[in-house]
Amino acid sequence: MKVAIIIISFILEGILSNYLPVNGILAPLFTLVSLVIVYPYFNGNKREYYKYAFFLGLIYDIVYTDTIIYYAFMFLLISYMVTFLMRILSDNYLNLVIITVILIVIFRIITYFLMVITGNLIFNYHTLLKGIYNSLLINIIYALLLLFITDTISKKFNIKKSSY
Amino acid sequence: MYNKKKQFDKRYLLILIIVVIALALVILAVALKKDRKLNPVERVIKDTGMTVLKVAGTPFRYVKNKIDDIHEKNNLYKKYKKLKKQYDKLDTIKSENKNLQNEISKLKKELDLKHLLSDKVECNATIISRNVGYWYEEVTIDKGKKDGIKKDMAVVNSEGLIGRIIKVSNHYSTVKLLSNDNMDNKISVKISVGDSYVYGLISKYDSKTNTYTVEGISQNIQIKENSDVVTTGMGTTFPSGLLIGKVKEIVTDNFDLSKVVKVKSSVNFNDIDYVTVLKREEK
Repeated sequence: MKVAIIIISFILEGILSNYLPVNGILAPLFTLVSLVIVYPYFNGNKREYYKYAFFLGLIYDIVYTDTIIYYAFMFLLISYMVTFLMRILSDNYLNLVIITVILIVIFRIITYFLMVITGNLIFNYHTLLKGIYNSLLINIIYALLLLFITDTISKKFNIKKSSY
Repeated sequence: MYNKKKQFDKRYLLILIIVVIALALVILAVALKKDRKLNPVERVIKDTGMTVLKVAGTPFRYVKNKIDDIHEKNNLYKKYKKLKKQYDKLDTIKSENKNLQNEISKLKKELDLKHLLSDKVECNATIISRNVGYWYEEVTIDKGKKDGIKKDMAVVNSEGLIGRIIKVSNHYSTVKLLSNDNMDNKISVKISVGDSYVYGLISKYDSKTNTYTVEGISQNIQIKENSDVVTTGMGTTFPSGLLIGKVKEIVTDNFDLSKVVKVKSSVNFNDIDYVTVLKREEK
């Protein structure tokens, strides 16, 4: 189940990028969303969850962005935040939206500032803001959809999930 | 007991964040260097990943092509009329072109030239993923080392120059688009003025208006709006004569010493599906 969610999100992100305008209003970040959705299926086994996040990041690095191991560390940090946020907020639709928004904002800000510091981008307040609000809408919709689908499937096949 | 554990967690988080950011900085600086070559392990993983992506994307591509076909059919008549006008002139242009080619090859023989700046070899490719990761302005195409693609080749589509190959794996390669805001590798271009050309350098791209800024043009040359801007083939590995755009606006710089030309890009960077990789022929 968890592997299926991750793989589908990962591939969908790559495919969908072909049909959306570059730097348009819809910027997919489905791999990040799948990390949030998949956490309850580990039933509190955090160590395994971190391992999954790290390898997912590693594959993301090599296949998509050619940045050796950068996303692996980023996803590790994100997955730590997910465990932290899931402890405070329970697993429902509204909280899912809140968690997704927080993670996307943090992810974009950190990545942007690191790119600026390493000299790959020129700092521009507007570009950063645009990057954040462009990626919010589509990812929130995807997160809600994915949670709905996985919930119905896991109820039907009696797959256990808990956020502790 | 509980309190102790919580404190440990907080300290752990702080250390984790600092270490991650420090490591990420170093890695990003190394990984995004322009002249980095992919190592064999990376190449193999990238190839498999991209192949999976290509196979999974086939039904989507099929549906999109069908939709495009239907759109095309709707304004077929308009297009026919427009093309008919162009077709009438085509024969004369063709014969003229043939004549010029002939003349060039004769002159080449006469002067004992090995190659011209405009000689090029072509290779068509399809785009598999566009700009995943948002800040990088890169696309991935389905031709790689096995198809003879090398670093720094020019990539064009039917509208004009779009970018440059930066990373090559066995069957796939990554293209850096010209639409990135900081251009550390300047492109030398020429603007047609009457019968001759004026030379300059592209220094900036503005994503809001889709325009380039060309600098280094003398004050006392009169440039007309809407004149073509093409590559020169000097300095970089781009062949000469690739269309970049049309002149949109001419202003003088802050010190009144030279002209700055704004060039409207001929490419719509939001919608690129099929590209051609060009290689300057060298022997």
